[in-house]
Amino acid sequence: MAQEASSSTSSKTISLKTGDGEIFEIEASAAKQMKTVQRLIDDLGDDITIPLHNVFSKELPKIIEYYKKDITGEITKDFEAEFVKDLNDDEVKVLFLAANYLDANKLFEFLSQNIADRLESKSVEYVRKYFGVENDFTPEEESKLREERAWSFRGIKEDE
Amino acid sequence: MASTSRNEKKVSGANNYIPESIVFPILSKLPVKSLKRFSCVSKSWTHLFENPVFINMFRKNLVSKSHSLYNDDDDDVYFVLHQYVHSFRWDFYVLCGDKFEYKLKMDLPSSFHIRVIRILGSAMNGVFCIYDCDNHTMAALWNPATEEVKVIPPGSAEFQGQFTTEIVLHGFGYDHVTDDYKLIQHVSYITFNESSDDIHGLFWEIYSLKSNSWKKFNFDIPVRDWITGSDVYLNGECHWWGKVNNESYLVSFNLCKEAFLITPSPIENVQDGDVDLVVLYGHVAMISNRNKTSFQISILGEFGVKESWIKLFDVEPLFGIEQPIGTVMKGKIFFRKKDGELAYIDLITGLIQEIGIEGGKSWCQMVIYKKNLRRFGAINM
Repeated sequence: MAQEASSSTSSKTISLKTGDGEIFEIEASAAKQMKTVQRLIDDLGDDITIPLHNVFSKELPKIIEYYKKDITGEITKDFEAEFVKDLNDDEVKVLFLAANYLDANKLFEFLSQNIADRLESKSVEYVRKYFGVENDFTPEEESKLREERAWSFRGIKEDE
Repeated sequence: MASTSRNEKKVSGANNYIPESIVFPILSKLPVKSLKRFSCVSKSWTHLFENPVFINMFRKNLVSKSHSLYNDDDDDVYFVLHQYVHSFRWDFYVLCGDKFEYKLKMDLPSSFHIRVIRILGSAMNGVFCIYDCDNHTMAALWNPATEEVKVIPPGSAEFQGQFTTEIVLHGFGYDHVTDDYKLIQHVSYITFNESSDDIHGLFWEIYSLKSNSWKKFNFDIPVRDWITGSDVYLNGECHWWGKVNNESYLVSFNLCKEAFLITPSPIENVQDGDVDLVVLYGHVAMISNRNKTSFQISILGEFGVKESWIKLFDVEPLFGIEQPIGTVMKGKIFFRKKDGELAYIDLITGLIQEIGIEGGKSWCQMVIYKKNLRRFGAINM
């Protein structure tokens, strides 16, 4: 009985429904890599369409593409570079948050590294906006801190 | 990392605030320079490096990044244990095995007639520089695998009756641009007077194996603080701990460019033997307070910047530990226990492992070594 189940799950597909109502299919083995999805499957069964309220039709196909490659063991540095090449910083952020919601660890780690690479030479203002962090310094406090850390601002364009 | 907080969903919209539990995994992958700049983002970000959750993630990322730097032939990287036995007899052993439990004795070439041997720095491409610790007048390059020995010719130091000549070797390294092995040493002449010592005639010189000669320089580099202090080599640079006007500095000498940079010490009042330099996760790092039973390990984030020393580990007083030996390999720090046994602590897991070998109190030196059958071009002696 157990053997039967495993051979059927290897080719089984799961239906996922995005927050904006679109449906996508993924293989059960790929779904296993997204712990949130797997938990929902465990609760709801693998025959019904799994609702993902916080993931949308723009991101999900990209995520599915990543895990498709993952289950065949084909994820390489080149593939990962290609994967994010045409995405801007905000698009990567949306993917990253989706990966977090889905508890998709491998993608989460990869995207967090990619975002770190993108932010490495950015300005303080850019990072504040990016993460939605409020500046709680007074102008005096901030300029004093910037002076102390002047060495870390070398070579950084302040308006980017 | 709590999985429940990881799954917090934040509604995006006017407020696109992202919680710390999600931001930290990104920030912990940034270099020190960026993190120090982003400390201006908000008040809570100023204290990132004091946040244990953050430091933990930052450390783990350093570890995984450094693992990817190692080649597949990781297994060929060993330790050489060098120690004083008795009556100026020195033993060299290669330590190998997962837990460094196998000890293979290495024979010194019979031509070595050095009384008090010490290894300078670390092995470079399987080549050691060994020298006499007494007065640094004899040094040789040695590749045990090819059995090549090259005695280094003397430099420009003069020896005259009126003064004492002091030579101090500072670093041994490899210039990858010219495929050359280099040594750097400092020479000074001291006249001992009743009231004070008169030091004059100071100069630095660099030896190149390719030219088999020394070249003098008049750099104003801080000299080694103490003779048996550690020096390390990383990425074409020799680093040592120097002192000038009672201030301590990390000195970084670039062998290819023949230029140097100094970084002030993060701690005041460094005394003899307080600090050891090591390479940790691909960064120059210092072990401080090593004369006490608890010690700290800090990495240098940006050369030349005092503020960029980041304390990564605070090792609590451990029962039975005497002192770190001053060697770190793959995140394992080696030390000597009170009973004389050598052991290591895995800095990430905290596991302590004895390696089944005793280390002599003053003269135990452990050096990273990778066997290399490539001849460095010397004549066998």
